[in-house]
Amino acid sequence: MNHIPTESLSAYLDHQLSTDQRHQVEQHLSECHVCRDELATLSWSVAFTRAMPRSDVPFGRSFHVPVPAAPAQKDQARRGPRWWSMMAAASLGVAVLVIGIALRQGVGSLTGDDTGRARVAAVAPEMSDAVGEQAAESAVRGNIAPERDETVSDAAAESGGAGSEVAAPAAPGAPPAAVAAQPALAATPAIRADLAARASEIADGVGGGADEPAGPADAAAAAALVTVEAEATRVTERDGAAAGLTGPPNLTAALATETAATPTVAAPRRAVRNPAPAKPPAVRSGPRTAQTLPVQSRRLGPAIWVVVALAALGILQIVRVRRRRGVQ
Amino acid sequence: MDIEAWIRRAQAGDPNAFNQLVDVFRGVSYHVALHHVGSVTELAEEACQEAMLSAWQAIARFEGDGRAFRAWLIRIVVNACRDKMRHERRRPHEPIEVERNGETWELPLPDPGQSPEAYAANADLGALLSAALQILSPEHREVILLDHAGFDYAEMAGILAVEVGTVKSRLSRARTAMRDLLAGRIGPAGTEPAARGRRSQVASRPAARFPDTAAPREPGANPP
Repeated sequence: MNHIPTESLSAYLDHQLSTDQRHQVEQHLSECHVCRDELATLSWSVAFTRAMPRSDVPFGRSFHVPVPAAPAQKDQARRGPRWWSMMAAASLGVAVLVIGIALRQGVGSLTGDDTGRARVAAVAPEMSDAVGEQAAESAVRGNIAPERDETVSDAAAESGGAGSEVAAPAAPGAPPAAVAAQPALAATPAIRADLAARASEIADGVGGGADEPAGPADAAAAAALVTVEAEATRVTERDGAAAGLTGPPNLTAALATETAATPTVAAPRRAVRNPAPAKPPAVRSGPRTAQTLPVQSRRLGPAIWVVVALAALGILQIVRVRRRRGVQ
Repeated sequence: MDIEAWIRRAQAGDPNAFNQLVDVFRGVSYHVALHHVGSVTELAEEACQEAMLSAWQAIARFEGDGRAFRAWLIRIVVNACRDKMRHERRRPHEPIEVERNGETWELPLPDPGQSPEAYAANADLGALLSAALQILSPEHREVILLDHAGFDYAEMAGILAVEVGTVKSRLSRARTAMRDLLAGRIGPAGTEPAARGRRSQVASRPAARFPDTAAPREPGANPP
């Protein structure tokens, strides 16, 4: 009789034989001690092998796959705002540049043609929708000093009222124009006060100059307008610098200030002497005066607000990105 | 155990769920890997880590239940071990070092009929089996390890990518070889098994030379 192949004995140990095969094997084993020995030793080694102790995984080894600290979407979110804020900053820079150029050109043309009256006439009606309705009213009537502020001293009021009869056709709205401040100025009290003082000065100047021929008054009006323009430019530039863009020194503005100074120097300074007490109240009245701009500045007003909004957005984005980076 | 739920979540891309699976199966994975690569812990750890990464990348393509996943994972481990051995160009342990540096082999062999428990009571069973496994051919070693890990013939066939009949014959030959090794019928490095007397003169614990199965081989154990 042939002995059972070891392969079958091995499979028999693993219960991998069919029922028929198993019966055959068991039949043979009962008769053959050689095969019984073979099975016994094989079984012994299998038992030994299976008793092999399980090797412990070295301490600290987990074989984990890396879990990303931040999911992929977060990475993208991080990249998004950075890109966005850069865009905002770029558009902000362009906007400020364009507006700065536009402003400078606007002032230049104003000083160039020096058509004070035309501009003043254009400004006057616009003031009705502005904050200083009172000033607008007075501008329409061509009688600025008494109506501008009830706290203005009588002396100033009278001199203004007297002068207006002569000078009115020439410079009806000049003082309001001078008083006019751009919206941005309203936010800075110091500048506002400064401007108001200047405005009262000019108003006084106009009042004083009214005794003289219309010519100087006209010049004074134009000069006052120019002064405000220059002031506006200066403030706009300051804003630009605050937004991180340093504008070059505005030569036009400086020139405008000079031009403004020249004609007013002669007469008004002296005339101001008697309504001197009018000055402090005039300062107080500053906020209540018309806050309007000459035509060009007025058109640029919304643009300035756009610039401010862009700057705010850009800063907001940068802050957000910073904070998110700090968290991680 | 919600292994299958973890499998689904891992397939959906959740690395934490996959790491739960790793926690469940890393023991058997490391055991198979360690003895496959010849008890070199560094190699076994590298093989396991690479296998887990491969499995993570391929888990979306896995189909089956928890038991099938175990076989699938061990197949990846075995393949990683094969790659390791190929790349390292390192041979597994030489035979149960009979003659090492001119010394006599000190690992005692069990008496035929002695139970594993009885042997383990006064000798290092793990060291003996680990050393014996290194003498086997890689194919035999693989089937012995997979049998030890509890896989059936069909699963072994799937893991090793061979026919079930091949598994059957290979396992039989591996067991015979193992038995002959353990019973001293074939002496390591071709020595005669008559050296029974040698075993009796072994006084020191084999663990002195084979501290444990997880320990790397001693320096100089593998002559260039």
